[in-house]
Amino acid sequence: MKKQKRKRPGMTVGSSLILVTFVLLCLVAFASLSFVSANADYALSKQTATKTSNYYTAVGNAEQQLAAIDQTLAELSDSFATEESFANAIQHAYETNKTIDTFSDNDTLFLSFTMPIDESNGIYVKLQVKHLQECKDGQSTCYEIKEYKTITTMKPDPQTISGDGGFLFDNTDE
Amino acid sequence: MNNGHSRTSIFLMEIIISVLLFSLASAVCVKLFVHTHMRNNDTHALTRAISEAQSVTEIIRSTADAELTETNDAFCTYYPLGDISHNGNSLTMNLFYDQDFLPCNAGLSKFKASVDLQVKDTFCYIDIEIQNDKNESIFSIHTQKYIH
Repeated sequence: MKKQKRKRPGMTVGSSLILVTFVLLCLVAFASLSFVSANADYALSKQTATKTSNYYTAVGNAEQQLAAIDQTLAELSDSFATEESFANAIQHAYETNKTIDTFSDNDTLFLSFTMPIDESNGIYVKLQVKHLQECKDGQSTCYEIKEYKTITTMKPDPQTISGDGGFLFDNTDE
Repeated sequence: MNNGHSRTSIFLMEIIISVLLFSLASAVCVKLFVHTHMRNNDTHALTRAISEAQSVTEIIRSTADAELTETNDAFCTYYPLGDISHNGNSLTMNLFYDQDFLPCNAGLSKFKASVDLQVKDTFCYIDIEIQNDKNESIFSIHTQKYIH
């Protein structure tokens, strides 16, 4: 009678190595994923830090521009006696200035400029020029800030133009 | 019997290889996890530093005048633990934060925000720097405000 071979219960040779390999693969995969994720978060924070720094540098430059405008308006207000001549003088003063725009609406004169933050964003400032008498008083600034906002200055890529001719990323209201 | 002995030797060898591989990979993974943890701490610190610096800057921008009295009052109200020194047209403030970026006393601090304001002519120059406990700069803001 042939003696039957008894099979050992439990693990066979090689199965523990397979198990360990699987566990290690999982461990390495999760470790790598968490490391990549942490690095991405850090890069994003760095980007935010750079953007914030650039924003406040642009804010500082905008404040310098406001100071220059206020000085010009104060000087002009001293030289002119009527609202009309004052407005004409302001428009004439900024006629050749490419960074500051002048426009009037219902006899109110506005000045606007955009201070770049980076290659795609800027701070848009819109000022309403006060009446001549208020400027002459010198109690406060010769302007009132009407708008102070961050805008996108980047021109839309032609590839982002949708089928109906409109921009997918619309920036036309600025 | 000889066959059984051979199988045991192979199994033992396999266990040894498994343990070696496991320890090797574990060492690498632990190193990766430690790096990840440190990066997460750096990210958290930087994010909070940006937020705190922005808060302080906006308080200054909304209150700055030629004598900085309003700014001084605002700092005393919003940062009671701050070390404030107001002298004419200049103001300095040191703020201390613990590891969770909550305001604390200087002795317990892990982070320090140095705020320096100088009024010259018609401008208030704002310098804010946030440092860690190794005196390394994490984040800084340099800007100015026009004062009529």
